[in-house]
Amino acid sequence: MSSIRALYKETLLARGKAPSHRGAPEGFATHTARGENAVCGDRVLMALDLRTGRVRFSGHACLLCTASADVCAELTTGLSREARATLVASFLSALARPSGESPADDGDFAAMPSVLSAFSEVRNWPIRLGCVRLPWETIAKLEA
Amino acid sequence: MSTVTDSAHGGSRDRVSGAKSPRSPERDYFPALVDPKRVYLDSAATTLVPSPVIDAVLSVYREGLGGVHRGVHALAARATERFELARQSIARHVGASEFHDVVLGRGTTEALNVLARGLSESLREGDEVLTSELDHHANIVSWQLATARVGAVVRVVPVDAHGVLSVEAVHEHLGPRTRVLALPHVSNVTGAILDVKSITGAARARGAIVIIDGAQAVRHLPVNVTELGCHAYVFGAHKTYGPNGVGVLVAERSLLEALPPLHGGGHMVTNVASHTSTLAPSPARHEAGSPNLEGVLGLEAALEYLHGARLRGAFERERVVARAVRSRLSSMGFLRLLGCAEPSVGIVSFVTIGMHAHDVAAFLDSEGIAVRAGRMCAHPLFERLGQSHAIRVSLSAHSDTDDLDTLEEALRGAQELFA
Repeated sequence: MSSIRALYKETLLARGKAPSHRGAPEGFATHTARGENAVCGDRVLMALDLRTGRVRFSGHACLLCTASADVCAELTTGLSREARATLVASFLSALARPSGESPADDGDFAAMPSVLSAFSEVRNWPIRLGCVRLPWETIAKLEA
Repeated sequence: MSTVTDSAHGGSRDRVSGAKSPRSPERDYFPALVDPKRVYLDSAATTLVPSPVIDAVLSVYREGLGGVHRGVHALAARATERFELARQSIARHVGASEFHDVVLGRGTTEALNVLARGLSESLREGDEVLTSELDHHANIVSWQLATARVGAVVRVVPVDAHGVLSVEAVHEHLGPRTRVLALPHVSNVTGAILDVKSITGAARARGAIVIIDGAQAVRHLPVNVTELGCHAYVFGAHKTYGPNGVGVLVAERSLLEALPPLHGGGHMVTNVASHTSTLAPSPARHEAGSPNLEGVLGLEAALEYLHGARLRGAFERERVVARAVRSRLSSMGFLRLLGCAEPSVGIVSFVTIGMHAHDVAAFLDSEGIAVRAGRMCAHPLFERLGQSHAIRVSLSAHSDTDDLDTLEEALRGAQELFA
């Protein structure tokens, strides 16, 4: 098993402890979707304001899930439904593949926004994949 | 004794005298603990298995035993004899009387469902089944499903703000329509021990059938179902140093004889025609299908191990470590223990202030420490306590102060990383 600090990179720690896109005040969202990980109790709500294209999140989740939700909200803000679906599918697909022997082999993440590569290590921690996937699987349920 | 970890010598060292606390001698019985750095604190989920149990399980395959209650050849006869001797041994271990039968099934959850489904056949609309907020889902959902079929009602005895289920609260909730009282002997979250004997008399006087979930009790306490006075007591092998896939339902024979079986199949019938069958007497009528022979022999060996461990002082050592766990964790400012009931066994749950339990548990795992994180299949209790998740440390016969030292150091490491 890889080091715990390889999993909890500084980027993820920062995002998880102080997310920039948390909080969906009343009246913000035109569309919402909820997700829950029954195993660990993580709960997220992904909120989209279709008028501005902004995405935010709320909920109670572990640090990995919170960081993932924060990145998800940031990267999907301003995307069309189709572009959001493409990004979600690409990220979830990358998470599903075994990690390469070195970062240079990680073609899956190289083709996506660089911030997502911070999550590549979770593939060595299968039990935590659900935490990272949850916000993305949740936003995929948005009907807009 | 105040200790510091001295990994070079193995075992803790007293801060003042420098004397070394030896590792628990019970560790030598567990092959999974051959790595001295492994700290297993998740016995409430499932216990590690000692060598005698492994040997008992493998003996079935090595000797070619099989066909319990089914063959006339020597291997089947031997298997049947071993199986029934194990049943008698299990009965003795839990203090079953001549008026009890021991049903050997697949687990605690199945045993509770056997009772719930069977008893629901005699419930009427408006009858009540009394459970508690302290219960594991197995003793909640099984009754919800069973009562919904007949329009009976599940009533829930609340715990107090500290997660304590009081005997007084149970008595207050016993009513004229209470037909079944089903409670946990030991909480899988707080470790609190329920004073079952103080409840069974009153419940019986009201005509209620008393069922006790002993899943967390048998590995920590000497259990005598006759003295407890309940109608039925259930527990599983895999939380009692035994193999997976075996559960025990020990109950009054009169109850089991009247209880409709949950499963139908071989062995639980004496005669089968195309359209009707004659049920076998208890316990056979509740043991449909081929039994888990290796599991039952493993459970027998587990209970024998437990008896020996108790004679070697393991129960008392575990109590000492449990007191130390509560004392030292409660002194760590970034933790808050859940529940404060005494008496209790070595199960301690706590919330990590400013950190998510899942992250902390992952960090502990990276340090070789196995704990449980989440809501422990006890959602109503967590709802009452206003918590969404916690970490649970659950001790075993092999737990020692060295485990606690390692845990404490790792918790501080987690705080440095996550807080």
